[in-house]
Amino acid sequence: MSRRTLLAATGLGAATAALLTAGQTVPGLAPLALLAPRDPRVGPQGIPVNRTAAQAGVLSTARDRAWRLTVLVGSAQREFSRQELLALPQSRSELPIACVEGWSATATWDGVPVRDLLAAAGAPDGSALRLTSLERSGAYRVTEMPASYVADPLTLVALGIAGQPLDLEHGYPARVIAPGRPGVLQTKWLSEIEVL
Amino acid sequence: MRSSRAALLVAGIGLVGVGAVEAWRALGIAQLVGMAVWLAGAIALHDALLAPGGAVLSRALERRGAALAPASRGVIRVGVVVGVVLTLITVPAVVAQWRGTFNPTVLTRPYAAVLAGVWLGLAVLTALGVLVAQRRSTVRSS
Repeated sequence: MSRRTLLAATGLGAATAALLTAGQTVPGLAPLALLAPRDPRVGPQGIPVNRTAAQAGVLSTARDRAWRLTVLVGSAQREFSRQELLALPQSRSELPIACVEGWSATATWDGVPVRDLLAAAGAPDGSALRLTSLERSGAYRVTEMPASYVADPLTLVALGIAGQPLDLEHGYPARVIAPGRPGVLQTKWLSEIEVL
Repeated sequence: MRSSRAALLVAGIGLVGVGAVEAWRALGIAQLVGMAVWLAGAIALHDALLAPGGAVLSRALERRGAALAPASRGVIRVGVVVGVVLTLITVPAVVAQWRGTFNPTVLTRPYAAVLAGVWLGLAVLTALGVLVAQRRSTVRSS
């Protein structure tokens, strides 16, 4: 094999592989992502799902009318129903789910800015948080959010996508969405926020 | 030339060093062992499967394609390499789809059919490339 043939073969191999898979995360190339495991446009509300509600074991707990989001500030505790969260001033963030699996998809999220929710619950500024999901198990059931993300006005307790209530697969009744964090840290089926 | 090669060598060794230090700092023993197994697996896969397979294909091409111009054999080689690369990427998806998934948003394409289409397209493009290469070589030799 000549050097030219070798370079052409490796170059074309890499280029076609990239072309047929990059659409998983590069906007505009999605129609070409014929060999990628994900299509960033396919899923409930046009967004793929990493972990389903069935896999997380939340099919009944997430739909329970008795669900409340618990906010713990020191020894004080406040509970918010979905109705109460919807009654707070709402905000909209255009943010991607950037999954560590290698796909990303951007959505329009509706919900309550986390810093406003904390203010309503009486938490001090500059707090870091511990977030807990309804998930039965999993490495990311309980995660922490540093103060810089908490203070970002784009960081939401999301209740909907583009004017529609959040799909169960995307974390109904409420999830976290913050800029610049891997998808596994965008806690779905949120049940508790603890101020650290 | 010699100095640029030396610079590349030093930069490469430096980057490997940074990677090793960062891996040691960021990963646990289990993850380091897992990474070593994965890297060794890649070498084993290459030496046990890809290199001998490539040698057999290459030998067959030299024998059967002796009548073809060298440029044509090059085009065929490129076509085969591209096809094998895309096949290696797609086979895990075909297997996983055959086994089934609990998540309807993963493995959304008909991967086996796409792969068949990829090989068909490559065959057509390679044939066209061979035709062009043959014509050029006869023009040159006449």
